[in-house]
Amino acid sequence: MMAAKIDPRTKIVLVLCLTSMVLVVENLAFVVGIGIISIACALLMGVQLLALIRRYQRILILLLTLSIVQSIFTPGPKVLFEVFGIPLLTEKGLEMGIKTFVRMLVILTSGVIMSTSNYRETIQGLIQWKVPYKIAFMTALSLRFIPIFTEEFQDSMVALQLKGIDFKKIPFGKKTQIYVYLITPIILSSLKHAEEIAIAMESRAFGAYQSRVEYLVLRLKGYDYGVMIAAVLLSISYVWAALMV
Amino acid sequence: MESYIKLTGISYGYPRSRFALRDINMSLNRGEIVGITGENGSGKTTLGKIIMGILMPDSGNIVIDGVDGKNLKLCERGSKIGYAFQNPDRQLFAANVRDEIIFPLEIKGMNKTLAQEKAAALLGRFELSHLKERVPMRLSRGEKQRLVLAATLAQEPGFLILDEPATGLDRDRKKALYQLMEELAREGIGLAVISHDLQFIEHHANRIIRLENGKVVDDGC
Repeated sequence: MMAAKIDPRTKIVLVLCLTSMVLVVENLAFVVGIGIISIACALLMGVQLLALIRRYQRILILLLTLSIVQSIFTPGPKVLFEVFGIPLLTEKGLEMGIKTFVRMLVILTSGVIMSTSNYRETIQGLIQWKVPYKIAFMTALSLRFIPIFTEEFQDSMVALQLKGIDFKKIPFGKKTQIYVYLITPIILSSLKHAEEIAIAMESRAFGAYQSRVEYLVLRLKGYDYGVMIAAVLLSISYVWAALMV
Repeated sequence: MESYIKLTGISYGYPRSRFALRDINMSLNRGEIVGITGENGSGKTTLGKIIMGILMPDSGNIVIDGVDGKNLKLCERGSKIGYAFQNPDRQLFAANVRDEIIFPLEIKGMNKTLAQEKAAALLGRFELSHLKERVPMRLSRGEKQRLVLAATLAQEPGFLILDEPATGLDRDRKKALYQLMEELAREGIGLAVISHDLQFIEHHANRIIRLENGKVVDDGC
């Protein structure tokens, strides 16, 4: 698959184009268009749509809920739906809600596109783009710790339930309290991890030498340049067209 | 002795691993101290997690306090059986020691004064009263283990599973832990102590269950 061979730097450019476009463009139809393009790009990168929906089901529901809330609380002159004379949904609100949902969806899809590359390769791409090694290394470390924190979060959820707490039965007010208790050990444990890593890095003389040799070296191919140039040119044209409408 | 947990034909295999628990049959009773021992990787912790419902068995049945385990949610099992993880850090949530005991009780609807009284009594029993305002994560390992036990006992379980409770404890603390286990057993609470410290188990357990490669090879009942 060519998609698997695409250089992570090409994906970074693509993602930058998508996210920049969706933030700059204001026209509803064009915003929705960017949403469709981002999903198409994810599919071209080999992402399975159904698996993606299943994986991000909860986030998608959250995004949809946020968008609906935004629609309801945005006033506007043209009322679409009202209860006892109180406007609940306006045309402007609906437009704002859709735009919010698509914008967050594009950000989510961008993350998915980047996740199709091995994180080590992504970091190597950044290093070859002259991003300071220390910053690239920190980014790699933070990515490496995501599964660890996920596991710790799941363990904390289990441990809380073993205290006899039924998440489904507790009232909404107390649910927020529960999340504070869930997040506290994760923050403390991340601080502990950071402290331990700092000691381990110091003891291995991290950064003692200015120059480094690389085992993994990425090379941009012709199609990488093609995709990057096309993405930039198409993005500029798209934004220009959207601003002209 | 009253039977509290009954395991019949329990088997469990981890995905993508050759290790499996095979045909585990045992009865754990209230008021007794059972030592579950075996080499590293013999399945002790896996067995504890299956009893707690953290892992679901591939086959077999578990009956807890007369109720089929399949009908018990994690939180319901947690009210019947207390579980102390190998790593106490995973069970500490609150910003101070006293709140660690109080908050689950309050969330479950217990009156604040009652919860505070209960916490004070447990902190006293576990010699943690002087640390009640401290951050749990900053305690020593032994103090953390005592706090986890205190918080677990606040749920008034009928049975306790302790995973490697003696790890990191000095001789005096191990002795104190043993005395506490005896006290709890006398109060009618059953205890299963998962440990590879055979000396600790042999000295303090009423019954020793030995696991080898996921199978019970000795049940000294």
